[in-house]
Amino acid sequence: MSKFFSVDHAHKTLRCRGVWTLKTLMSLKKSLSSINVSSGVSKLDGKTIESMDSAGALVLSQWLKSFSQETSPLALENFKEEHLKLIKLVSLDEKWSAVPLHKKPSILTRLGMLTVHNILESYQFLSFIGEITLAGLRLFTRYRRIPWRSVISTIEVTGVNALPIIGLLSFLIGIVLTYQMGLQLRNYGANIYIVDFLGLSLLREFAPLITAIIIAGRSGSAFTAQLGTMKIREEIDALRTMGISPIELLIIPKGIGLFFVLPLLTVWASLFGLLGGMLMSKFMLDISYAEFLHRFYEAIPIRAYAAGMIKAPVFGLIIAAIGCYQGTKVTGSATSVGEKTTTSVVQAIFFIIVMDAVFSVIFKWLHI
Amino acid sequence: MNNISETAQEIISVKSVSTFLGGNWIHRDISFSVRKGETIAIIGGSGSGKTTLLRELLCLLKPQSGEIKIFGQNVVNLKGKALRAVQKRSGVLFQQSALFSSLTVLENIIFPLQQLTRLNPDTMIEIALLKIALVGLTPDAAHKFPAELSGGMQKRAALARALALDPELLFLDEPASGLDPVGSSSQDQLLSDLQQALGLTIVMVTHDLSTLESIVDRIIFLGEKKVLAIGSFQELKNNKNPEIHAYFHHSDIKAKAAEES
Repeated sequence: MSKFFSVDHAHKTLRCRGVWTLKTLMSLKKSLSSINVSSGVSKLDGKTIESMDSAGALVLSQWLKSFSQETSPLALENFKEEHLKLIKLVSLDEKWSAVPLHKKPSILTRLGMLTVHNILESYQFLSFIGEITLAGLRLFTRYRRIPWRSVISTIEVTGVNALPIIGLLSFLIGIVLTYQMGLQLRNYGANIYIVDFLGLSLLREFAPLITAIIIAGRSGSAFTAQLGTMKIREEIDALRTMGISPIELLIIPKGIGLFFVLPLLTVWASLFGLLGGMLMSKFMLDISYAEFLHRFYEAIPIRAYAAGMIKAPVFGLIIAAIGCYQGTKVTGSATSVGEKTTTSVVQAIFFIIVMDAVFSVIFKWLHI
Repeated sequence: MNNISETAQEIISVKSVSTFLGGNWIHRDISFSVRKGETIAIIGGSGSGKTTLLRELLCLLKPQSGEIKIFGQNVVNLKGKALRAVQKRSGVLFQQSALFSSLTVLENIIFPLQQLTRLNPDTMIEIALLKIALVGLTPDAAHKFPAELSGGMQKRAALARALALDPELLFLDEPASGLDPVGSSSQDQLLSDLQQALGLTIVMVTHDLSTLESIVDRIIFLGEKKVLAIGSFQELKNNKNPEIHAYFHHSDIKAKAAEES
């Protein structure tokens, strides 16, 4: 009849046989469900079952239960002692059949949950900003407690180590900008104005923005991952129990560090951007280095440079605040570290660009 | 019954294994064997290389020399499919539980079933719930994430995952740590039930004296980079080696010192 049992009508017995384990489970389930309940069997013989594991025993005990609901319960005969033990071990009480499975909430519920979540999130972010501002102000009245070593190490890791990549990328952007604009300017014979264009756009916009975006990707993500992992491994709790404020030790130094690092890197980026532009101008537009520098001196006001330098420290604070905030939001799992790191970079870049737009509006009002 | 020949069957045999790690010899010439259906405990002081030995049995670490046979296969240089076939037949409970933190308890237990068997989803859930029930967790723990559970509950969930595929061989690294005495003794009961019902072979690293006394058949005592003694709880308790004696009688020694002072 099947490889798992045969019906012995003379003795009203169902004789089981074969391998009742995880490997054969699906076909075992199928053949058990095909047994005709009204065939009149009253006994189950387990003598020839070769092997049985807990999965096989579970299927058997479930089938026995459903069988006994429809007719009288089957008597188990000749089962090996260990198989009986196993069947007894796996027969669970009723509460386990009613474990509710997770249902996906409806789209409306999810929208509501997301809204509430986001409102709470912005509230928490604001309180975080408030908390570090207060802690920062308190520290400045007692400046000796500022952990300068951490500040210096932040400056080294986020600033000094980033010099090559920022230098190279700015240099390339200088070349690209000059090439694109040079094509247009050449048509009007206005070659020399490349200096005005390049100087203003680099000093005011490109250098601070490119630097901030690179640092957000490079250091903001590192802050989140570091704080998040420390939180999971209970290192933050360890600091708290020692009476050391994690905000003072871990977050404030990062803020101070980036506050100084970003303007410095912006100068570096402007320098390399202009170098790239100068090189391209010479080869493409026949503007000598001396001409370029002379025009630069005449055309670019100091306030263009100041405008860029005002933005940079603000960008630095944004990156540090968001990076650290997302780090503190990490919960138990490894996935969470990845999620929050992503959020940290995306949010930091988002707010940097929003802030850049705000600065543009302010500068317009002030006619800078 | 062919039980006699079956109990004589060697599931694990370790022959003259030496391990060199981090500038030190951890083991020198270790040999022992584990028979089918036995419960073996590896004990010894801190740093005696218990976990290292366990990692070698799990094929996570290669010894410098020697031979480790599991299910009759030398696993030291085993690779690919053959290695996976051996690993599929054993379950592991890690010291830190090692549950996947992004999955719920139920999903954690379903995971090996999903990857290594061809069952339909309902059956997988049934089997997973059975394992959760067996290890003594409550139904509401099934949908929680590991981070939401206490250390002891994580341990039980990890044991349920180790049992998911009904392994023939079970490795336990400090199964009792993080469990209260009641939980620990009910875990011992479960292990011995499973062992009798499934013919399970268990290899564990533990410090829990009550576990050693109640369910362990033979104890391997590691010390001085080698196997100091192998024997039953009583045999080791009466062993005259000072290190072994101190291990089993430290509470007596303390009591004596308190009396004298």
